Amino acid sequence: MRTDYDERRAARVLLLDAQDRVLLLHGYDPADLARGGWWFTPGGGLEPGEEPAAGAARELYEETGLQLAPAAFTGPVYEQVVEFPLDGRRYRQSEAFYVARCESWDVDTSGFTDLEQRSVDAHRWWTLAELRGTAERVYPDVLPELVAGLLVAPAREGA
Amino acid sequence: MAGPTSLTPLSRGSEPPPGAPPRPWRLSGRLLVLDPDGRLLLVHCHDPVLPAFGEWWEVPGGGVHAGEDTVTAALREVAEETGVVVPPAAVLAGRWSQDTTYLWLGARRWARQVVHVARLDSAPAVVAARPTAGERESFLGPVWVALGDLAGRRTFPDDVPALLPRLIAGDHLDGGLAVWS
Repeated sequence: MRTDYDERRAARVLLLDAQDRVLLLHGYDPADLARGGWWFTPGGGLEPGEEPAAGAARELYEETGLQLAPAAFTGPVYEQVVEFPLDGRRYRQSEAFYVARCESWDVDTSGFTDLEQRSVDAHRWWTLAELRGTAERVYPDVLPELVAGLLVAPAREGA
Repeated sequence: MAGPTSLTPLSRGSEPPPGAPPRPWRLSGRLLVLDPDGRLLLVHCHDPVLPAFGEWWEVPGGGVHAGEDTVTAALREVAEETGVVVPPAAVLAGRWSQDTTYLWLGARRWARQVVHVARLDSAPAVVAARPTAGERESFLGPVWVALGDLAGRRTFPDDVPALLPRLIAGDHLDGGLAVWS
C-alpha cells in the first residue's frame, strides 16, 4: 500500500470527576493565531512502541500532574483517524480515546513542554450540558456523545 | 446563542456554524460502485430525528480505522453497509476530496471525506450486511440506481451525477468545504 504520509499514533484522555465533568484544555496554534483557540482533551503522540494506555497515563501526568496507572484507563471508547499537513509533510494520525476518573483534581501544568507552555492558555471542567450548549470550539466533534455515554453521577436537571 | 449542535439544517453551501471544531476533521472514505450495466450502488436513507428533512441516496462509506487508508476503509464500509464485496482491483484512480458537515441522528458531524470510484466487470459477491445501530435507524436499504434515475434525487454527497464522469476519467477533485445540511 503506497503511503505518501507519515503515520502517527496518539492517545487522548477523557478525565471525569465525581460530578461527571470532563477536563478540557484550551489552546491555539502559536504559528496561526488568527485561527483562534479551541478546547481539547489532554493527550498526545505515542512514543515508538508505547502502548496507548501507557501513553494516555504519561500524557495525563505531563499535562495535569495527575498520576494514574495505565490499568486505571478504560477504552478506547472512541477512535478516529485524521490527516493533516505540518511543516511541509503530510501526517495521518490515529487517535484513541481513553477514560479515567478522579474524585477531583487541581490541575498542575508545571510539566508542560515548551510548546504546550506557548500554546495552552487555560483549562476548565465541563458538564455535559455545557458541552452541548457551547458556541466555543471543541475537539473532537463527538465529545458530547462520548461524555453522555460515560455519566455515572445521579442525573440532574440540566439545560 | 445556539451552539454548533443546533439541529436546524443549514442551507447547502453556507458557511459552517460558529464553533465548528478545529480541523483536521475525522477522515472518512466513500466508494461509488458502478455495476456492469452502469448502475450506481447507493444506500437509501432517512433521518428519524429529522423526518421533515426527507430522504436521500448515500454513497456508502465511513470513518477510516487505524492502519487503513481511505480506499480500504471504503471497501470495508461498502461490505458492512450493503453486503456488496467489491474487489480492490475494481477501484479506479479518480478521487474527490472535501471537508463536509451535516446533521445525522441528532448531532452535527464533521468529516474530511475522500470519495473513490470502482467499476465492476461482473456481478459482485454479496455477503450479509452488518450495519451499525445508527445505520440501522437511518438506512432504508441498498439500491442499484441508473444514473438517469438520479435526477431530482438528493444524494450524499451532493453533485454525484455531475462529478462521476470526471472520477471515472481518473481526475483528482477537491470540493473544498461542503455544508450538506
